[in-house]
Amino acid sequence: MLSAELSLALAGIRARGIGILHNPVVPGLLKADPGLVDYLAITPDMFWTDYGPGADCRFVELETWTDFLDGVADRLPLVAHSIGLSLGSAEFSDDGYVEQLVQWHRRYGFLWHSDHLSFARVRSASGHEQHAAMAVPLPFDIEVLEMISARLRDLGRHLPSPFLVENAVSYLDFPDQDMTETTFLNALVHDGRCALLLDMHNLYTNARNHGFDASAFLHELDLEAVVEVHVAGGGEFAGMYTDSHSGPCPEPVWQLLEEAMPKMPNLKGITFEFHDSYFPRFGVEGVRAQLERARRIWSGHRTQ
Amino acid sequence: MSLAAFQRALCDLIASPSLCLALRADAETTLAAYELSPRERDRLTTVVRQRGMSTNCTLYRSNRITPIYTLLPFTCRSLGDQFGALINQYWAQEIYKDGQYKSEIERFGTFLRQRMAADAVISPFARELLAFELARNALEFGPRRDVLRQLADLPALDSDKPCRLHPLARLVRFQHDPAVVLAAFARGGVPPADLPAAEAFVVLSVADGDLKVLQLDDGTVAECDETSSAPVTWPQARLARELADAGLLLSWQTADKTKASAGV
Repeated sequence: MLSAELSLALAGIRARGIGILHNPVVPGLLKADPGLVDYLAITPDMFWTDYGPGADCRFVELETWTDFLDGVADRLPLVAHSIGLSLGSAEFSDDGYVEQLVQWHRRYGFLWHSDHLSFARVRSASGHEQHAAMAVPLPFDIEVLEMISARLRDLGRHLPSPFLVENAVSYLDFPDQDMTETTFLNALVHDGRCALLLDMHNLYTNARNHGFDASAFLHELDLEAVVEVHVAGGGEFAGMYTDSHSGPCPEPVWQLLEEAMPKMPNLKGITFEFHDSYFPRFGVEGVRAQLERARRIWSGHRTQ
Repeated sequence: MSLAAFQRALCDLIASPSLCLALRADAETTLAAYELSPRERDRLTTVVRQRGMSTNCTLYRSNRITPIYTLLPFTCRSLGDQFGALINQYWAQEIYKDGQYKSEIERFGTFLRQRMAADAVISPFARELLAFELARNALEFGPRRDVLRQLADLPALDSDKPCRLHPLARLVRFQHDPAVVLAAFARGGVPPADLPAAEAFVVLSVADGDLKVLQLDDGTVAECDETSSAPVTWPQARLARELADAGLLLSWQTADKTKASAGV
């Protein structure tokens, strides 16, 4: 169950409907059809170059990208989906990065903010920052839970909107974990510092690769805490099914969404994600078909 | 610190299939550098045998090559069969530091220039394409509005006074005809290996918004005394008519100010 404070904050946010995660193709899609989506999710990190802590001018914005954002912000609600917090890093915190996010909240008024239950930033043996080049999964241990809870408390003091944690995709299966993923996520929520971004394709990918029942996962998860859902496509790569965002959403993911919809009273939006490099074979109509499918499911369970 | 060591070890393994193989063969020696709890040690020795670790290693390579191949496509293709070996050398030498595309291509550019200086790069076109693509990215990633704001009150260009290249432009030296080389790579091909050497210069500019590429004619080239792809100053150069006409020459007095604002 969500904390009273978070419930209150979410009560002030109207359910939006269908969104899309920004990539270099999306501005063209929105220009051709301004009513394509009800909100736009953006990864703020993609809108600047970060020269790192200590740099004279640390964050240099990509002006053509922020021009687009400035133009769209007046007519389309924005939500932030960052990739740089590295919530699970054991020895990494970055106050300058958080401050940059805070400034962007002031500027664009993000309805909510999310990041991933994973880590990407560590200190190398020589003490320098090292990036994993991917979101690395975490073991679901008490130690990790306490660390992330503390980090979320700190974030909550800075970010002005509700914070959502996204369930991660994992190609590894750590032995001897203290708890299951659902227990871990529920504990994070019950601690009162976050709500959930439920990535249905991550869930599907994990269930398919590790052979567990995705419906049982949904049954165990506190779905009242879910504020946003991600849907995406993937494919076989290097011996496993991967979350590559490479095209249409697989049918089982839509089925999981249908199954979960009645149990997510705080859901504000369903966001479709795709990687722009796959757009040539996916096409405008391909994107539109995914958004329409999501909208049919949304409308079937919402009366707004 | 144990969890931090576990995470560092996991990242090192994902970045190195050979380290994974070493761990499979000899866990004690391979993990000796990390302060791990018995459970963390067990986890690493277990996951390194999972198929998912191979997937992670492949994804690491795919994700790390993406900025380089996306932002330096002509350079990468010009390297041909040598690209794989060079990228492996680069990764062995440089950890992935910050996930920033621009920083990563600049580090790769520095590495590649070192290999070129050692005559270890075969492609006859790699040097000029690297300079061209790094210049293009520097302009496209850099601030533009602040630079233009600072140039707004600039006095009119005087052909008798020293001048400099616009801070939103870069000069790149080619060792072959730029038109032939760039057109070939833009088509997805490569120029003929026996394309005659012919020194030439192009100027890239985002002063008007979109990227423009201007090939300087021979007469202008002869007047250039600066060959860097970084912003250049030409206090001694006579006015280059093509550049002036294109609005890419500025009076010299503003050099320090605009250079600082361009973040270079």
